[in-house]
Amino acid sequence: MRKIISVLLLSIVAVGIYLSVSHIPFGAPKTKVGGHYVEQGMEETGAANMVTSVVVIYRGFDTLGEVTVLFIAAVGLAAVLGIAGQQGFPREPASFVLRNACVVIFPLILLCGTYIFAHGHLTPGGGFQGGVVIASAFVLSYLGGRERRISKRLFGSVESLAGLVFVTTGLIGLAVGGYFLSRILPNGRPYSLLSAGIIPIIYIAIGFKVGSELAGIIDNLIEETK
Amino acid sequence: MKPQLILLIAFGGAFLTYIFGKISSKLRDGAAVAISLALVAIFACLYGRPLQESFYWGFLGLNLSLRLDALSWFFAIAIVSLGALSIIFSLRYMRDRERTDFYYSMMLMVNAAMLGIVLSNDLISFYIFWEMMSWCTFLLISYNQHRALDAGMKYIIMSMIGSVAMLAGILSLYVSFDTLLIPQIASSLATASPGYVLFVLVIFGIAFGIKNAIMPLHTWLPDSYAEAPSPFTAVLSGMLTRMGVYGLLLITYVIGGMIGGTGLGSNVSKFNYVLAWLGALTIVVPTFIAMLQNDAKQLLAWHGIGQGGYMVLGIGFGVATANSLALAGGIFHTLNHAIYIVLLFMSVAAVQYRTGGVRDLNSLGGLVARMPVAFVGALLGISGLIGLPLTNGFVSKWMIYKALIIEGHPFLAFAALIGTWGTILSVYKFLHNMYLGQLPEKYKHLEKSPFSMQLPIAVLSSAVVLFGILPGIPLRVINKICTWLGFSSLDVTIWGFTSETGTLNTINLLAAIVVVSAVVWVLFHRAAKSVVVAQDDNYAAGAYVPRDKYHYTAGFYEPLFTMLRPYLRDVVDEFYTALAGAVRKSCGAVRRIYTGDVGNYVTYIILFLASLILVQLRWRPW
Amino acid sequence: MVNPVLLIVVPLGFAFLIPILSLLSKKAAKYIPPIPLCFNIVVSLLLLPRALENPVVVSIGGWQPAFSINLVAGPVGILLSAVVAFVGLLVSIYAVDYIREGATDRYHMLFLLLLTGATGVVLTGDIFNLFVFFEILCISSYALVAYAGDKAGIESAVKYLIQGAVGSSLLLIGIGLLYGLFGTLNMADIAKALQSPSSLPVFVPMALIISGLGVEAAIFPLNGWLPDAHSSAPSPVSAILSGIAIEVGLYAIARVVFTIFGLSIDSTSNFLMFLAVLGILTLLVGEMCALGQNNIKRMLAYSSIGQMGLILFALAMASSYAVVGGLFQLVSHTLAKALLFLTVGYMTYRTHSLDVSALAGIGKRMPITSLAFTIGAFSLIGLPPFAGFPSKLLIVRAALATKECLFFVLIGGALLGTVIEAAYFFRIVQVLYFKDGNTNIARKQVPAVALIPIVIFVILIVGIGIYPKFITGLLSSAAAELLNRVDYIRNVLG
Repeated sequence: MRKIISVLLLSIVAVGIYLSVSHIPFGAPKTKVGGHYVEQGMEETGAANMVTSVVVIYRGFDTLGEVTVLFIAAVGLAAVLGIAGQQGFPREPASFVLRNACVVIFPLILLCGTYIFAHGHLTPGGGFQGGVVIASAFVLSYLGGRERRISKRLFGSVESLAGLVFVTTGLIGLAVGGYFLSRILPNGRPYSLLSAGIIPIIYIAIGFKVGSELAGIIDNLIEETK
Repeated sequence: MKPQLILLIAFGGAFLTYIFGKISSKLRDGAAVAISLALVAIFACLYGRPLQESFYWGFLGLNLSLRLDALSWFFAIAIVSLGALSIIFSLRYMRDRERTDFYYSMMLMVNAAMLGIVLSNDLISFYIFWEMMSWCTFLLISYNQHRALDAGMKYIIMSMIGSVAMLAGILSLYVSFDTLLIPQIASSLATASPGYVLFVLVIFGIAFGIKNAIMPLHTWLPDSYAEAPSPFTAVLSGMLTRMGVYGLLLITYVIGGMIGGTGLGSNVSKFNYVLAWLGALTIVVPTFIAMLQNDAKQLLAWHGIGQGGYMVLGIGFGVATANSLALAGGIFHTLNHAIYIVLLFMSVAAVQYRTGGVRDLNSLGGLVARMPVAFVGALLGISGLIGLPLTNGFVSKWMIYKALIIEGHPFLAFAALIGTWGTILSVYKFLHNMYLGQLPEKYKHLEKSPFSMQLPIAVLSSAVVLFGILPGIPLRVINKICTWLGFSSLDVTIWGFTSETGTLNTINLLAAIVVVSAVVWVLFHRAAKSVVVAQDDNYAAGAYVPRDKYHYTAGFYEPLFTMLRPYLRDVVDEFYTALAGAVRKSCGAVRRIYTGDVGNYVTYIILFLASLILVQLRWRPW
Repeated sequence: MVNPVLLIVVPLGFAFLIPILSLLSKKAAKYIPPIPLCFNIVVSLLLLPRALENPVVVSIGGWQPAFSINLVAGPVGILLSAVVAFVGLLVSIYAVDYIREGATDRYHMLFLLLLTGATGVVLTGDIFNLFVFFEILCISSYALVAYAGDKAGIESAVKYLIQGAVGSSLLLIGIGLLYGLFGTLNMADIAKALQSPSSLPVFVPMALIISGLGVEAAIFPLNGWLPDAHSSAPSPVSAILSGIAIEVGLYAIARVVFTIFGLSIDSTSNFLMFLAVLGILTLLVGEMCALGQNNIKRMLAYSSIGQMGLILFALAMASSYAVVGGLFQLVSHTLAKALLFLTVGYMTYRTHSLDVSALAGIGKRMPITSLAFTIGAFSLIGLPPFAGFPSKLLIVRAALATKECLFFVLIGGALLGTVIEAAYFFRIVQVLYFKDGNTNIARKQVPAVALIPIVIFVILIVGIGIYPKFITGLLSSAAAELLNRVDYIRNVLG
C-alpha cells in the first residue's frame, strides 16, 4: 500500500518537474552566465580549462563551501565513529604479491593524483579529482599493508593547513584587491603551467585537502569494519 | 507625587524585599511592612488629587500612561490597605515556612501589579500589569504544593484564556482607532458601529468575567481560594478577583463614559441585562453550593463567587437601566465584600495557624473560648456577609435591592434575596462549627492568636461596623465614580443618602437598635435571674453521654443536603474537566503523527510536495 | 573598510585552525570558537550603520554580480548574522564546561562550522551559494546530533540525515530548474527576470525549494526529524539547532518567497495565505504535541515547532508590521529557547533523567538555573515583561490589522496555541518549584562559566521585554528590506 502511494506521489512530482523542464529549450546556448563564461572565461581568468575557471574563480566561494562540506563530513564521521571504535582488532596479513605490488604502485598513484590537481587549470581534472586519486592510493595501501595506518595527526594537520591556505589566499585577495578571492596573481600566458593566477594555488590546496580528508574517512571506516 | 514613582516604589519594594530576605528575615519582614504601609500613606495623601502622566514611550511606539482619578483611587486605596493588612497578618502566619522571601516579594509584586492595573491610563499597560498579576498569582496559589498545584493550573489556564481574549480585544481597538489611551478610545467608540461595540463588550466581558468568576466562568475560584496560603487568599478574594469588577467599570466608562448614562446603544444595555442575569445566577447557585462545603475556606470561596454576583448584578443592572443607585451599590459592595471576606479568611487563617492547618468544619468547634478576637472577627464578618443592619454589607445590598425593586425587576430582586437566605444558613454553619459548640479535647489548650493577627482582624472588624454606620464616607468617593462614568449623582450624607429612588439613614437604624438593645438589656437584668445548669443535665435529657461526644458538629444540614445535592453539582466544572480531558486526548492523537518511522516522515515530505504540485496543476489556485 | 565576507571566512579559518591547535594542546580547542564569534559581533556592529543606509553588496572575486557570487549584507543579513554570532558566542562559552566527553576538538570545530553555514545563508545573494551554506549548516548539525554517540543520538541523527538529504535534493532540483529557466543563479537577477510564480514551470521550482527549505525550517508536515534530533542532541547543540538552525531555514524561505518569487500582499497569487494557514497548522500541531509530553527536551523541541509556525504565519502575512513581528518573534524565540535548552542541559545533567518528574524540586537545588528557566518559559508564552510579549503583540496586531476573516480565525488559532503553551510551561514551573523531589541531588549551582551565558540571556530577555525599542528600529528596516523586492534588485544589480 505504502509503496503504491509513494509511487503515485513521486510520479506527480515527476510530472511537475517534467512540465517545468519541458519549458527549458533543449540544447540552445541559452544561459546568460554560461555564455559569458564560455566567451570571456579564458581571457578573464587565464585558465585553459573552462570548468576550472568557473569552479575556482567565478564560483570560488562555492568551492570553498564544498570543501568545507567535505571537511565536515570527515570530521563528523570521525566524531561519531571515533567514540565507538578505537580498539584495534587483529587483521589477516595480505599476501606477499599484493603487499609488494602496492608498494610499487602507491607512489605512481600519488604522482598521477598530483599531476591531475596541479594541471587543473590546463587539462580536465582538478583539485577534487586529484584528491580522490590520491586517496585511492591510501585505499590500496590499506589493502596491501593491513597493519599499516596513516598518522591521523599528520593528515589532520595537512587538511587544516590546506583549508587555511584557501582561506588565506582569499583574504590576501581581499586585502590587496578589495575582493575576497580576487586575482592577486597575473593571468600569465594561457596553456602554460604557471598561468591562471591563483587557480593552481587553490587547486593544490584542494588536492591536498581532499586527499587527506578522504584518506581520513577511509581510515575511520576501516576502523569500524569488524 | 508622580504615579510612576508609586509603581516604582511598589515594584522596587518587591525586589528589595527579596534581596533583604537573603540578608536577614527580620529586615525582610520590616521592609515588607514598611513598603506596604508607605503605599497606604501615599494613597491616603493623594485623595482627591487627580494625576495623569505618560511614563514611557519606549514600548513599540505606544504611549504608556498612568492616571489617578476617583475610580482608580478608590480601588488603589483598597488594594494597598488590604495588602498591608495581609502582609502584617503574614508575619506570624508565614513564620517558619519555606521560601518566605519568595512569598513576601510575590505578595508585594501582586499588590504592585494590581496598583498598576488600576493606575493604567492605556490598555497596553493595563494588559501588562494584568498579566503580571496573573502569573504572580499562579505562583502564590501553587505555593502550598500538592493539591495546590492543580488549583494553580486551573487558575492559570482560565486566566490565560481570558487574557488572550483581552489581548485580541485590546489590539482590535488599537487597530480600529490607532490609540490605546482610555479616554481617547472612549471618545472614538462613541461613533463605532453597534456590532463592534458588542464585540468589544463580549470579548472584555469574557476576560473580566473569568477574573471575577461570573458563572459559568467561575470554576477556578473555589480550589484556588482553598489551596492558596491563607493571607494570600485574603488578597485574592478581597481585591484580586475584583479586578474583574474594575475592568467591567472601566469598559463601561470606555463604552459609555463620553455619551452619558442615558445615550447608551441598545446593544450595551442588552449586554448588561445579560450580565445582570448572569450575576443573579452567580448569586443563587454558588451560595447554596457553599452550604454543602465542610471546608471552611471552600465555603467562603463559594461565597466569594456568590458575592461577586451581587457586584455584577449591581453594575450590570445599573448600566443597563442607567440607574446610579444600583451601580453605586455594586461598587460599594465590592469594597464591603473585600473588607468582610478578608476578615473572614483571616479569622480562618488564625484558627489554621493555631490548630496546625485544620480547616475542616467537622473537626473544629468551641474556639470562641480560646480565640475571642478571631471569633469577633468572624461574627462581624458573617454579619457583613449576610448584610445585617449596621454592618457594611447591609448598605450595599440594600442599595441593590432597592434599585431592582424600584425599576421593576422582581425576579432579579428575588434572586438576590434567595442568595441572602442561603448565605444566612451557610455562614451560621461556618460560625457554629468553628467557634461555638463544644471545644474538642485536643484544642483545650490552644493559645489565643498572636497580636500581628489580631491587629488586622480588629482593624477590619471596626471597618465593617464603621462603614455600616457611616456609609457616607466611602459613598462620597463612589458617587464621584458614578458621575465620572456619566451617571447621575446621588445625594450622599454621612449617614447614607437620599434620592428619588430611595432614602437610607443609618442613624435611625442605629438609634432603633440602641434603644431595642437597651430595652432587652434592662428586661433581662430586671425580670429574671438565670440559673446555671451543667450542660450534661439539659442535654440528652439526662442520659449518659460520653465526654467529648455530646455535641455533634458534623453533618450540619444533612437533610437539606440530601435534598439539594443532586441539583447542586458543579456541572460547569464537570464540563470543563471533560473538555480538558478531550483536549488532552486529541493532543495525544495529534502526537501520533510523529510515528518515529523515518519512512513515514519522508512520505510526508513527498506528500506535501506532490499535493502542492497537484493542486496547482489541477486547480491553479496560486 | 569592513567587508561582510569576513563574517564567513574568519570563523571558517578558525575552524580549520582547530585541528592544528589541538595538536599543541588538547584543551585549546574549546577556547577557539568564542574568538571568531566575538569578531563577528564586532564586524556586524561595524557594518550595521552602513547596512541601515543601503545594503552592503560585495562580490567575491570582483566580477559583476550575475557572473560571480555576491553577498548582500542588508539589515536582515546583519541582524541575523549578529544574532547567530551572539547566541553562538554564548552557547560556545557554555560548552566550554558542558562538553567534556568524546572528541571535544571535533565538537568545537563542527559547532563553529554550523554557525559559519548559518551566517553564510543569511548573507549570500546567490541561490546556489545559499544551497552550499545550507549544506554546511545541515551536515554539521547531523554530526552534532550524533555527537553523544549513544543509541538515541545516532538513530535520530540518521533519521535527520535521511530527511535532510531528501530536503536538500528537492532544494537542489528546484535551484537547477530555476537555473535552467533563467540562466542565472543570482537571486536578484532571477527576481528581475521572474514575473509571476503562478505559471506552472515557475511554480514547480518554488514548490521544490519551499519543500526543501521547509524540512530544515521545521514546517509541518516536513518536520518529522525535529523532535528526535533536538531532544537527543547534547543540550548546547539543541540550543543552537532550536535557536538558530531552524530560524535560518525560515529566513531562507522568506527570502526566496519574497525576493525571488516576488510574492507580496498585492500580488495576484495567494500562496502566502496558504503559507499562513500552514504556519498556524504547524503552531497547533507543535503545541498540541508538546502538551502532555514527559520528556523535557522533547517538549521544548515540539514547542520550537510551534514557535516556527507562529513566525511563518507572521512572515506570510507580509505586511511590514507582521514581518517586524515575525522577526521580533524570531529573535525572542532564539533567546528564550537557547536559554531553556542551556538551563535544561545542566538540570538533566544533575538528575540523570530527561523526565519532567525528575526535575521535581530542582528549584531549591539550582535556584538561579530554575529562575532562568522560568523566565525563558514565560517569555515563550508571551507574558510581560519579557521579550516574547512585544513580539506576540505585534503579530496579533498585524493579523487584526489585515481586516480579513481568515486571518482573524488564524490568529484565534495562534492564541489557542498560546494557551496550550502556557499550560505545559506552567506545569514545568510548578514541578521545578512546588514539587518535592529527590533530595539526593546536591544543592549546587551550574559552574560559573555556564552561568554567564545563562545570566546574559536572562538580562537580554528582560531588557528587550521592557525596552523593545532596543531592537525594533533595526527590525523595521530589516522588514522593509525583506519585503522590498525592487530595491533589492536595484541594490544588487545597480
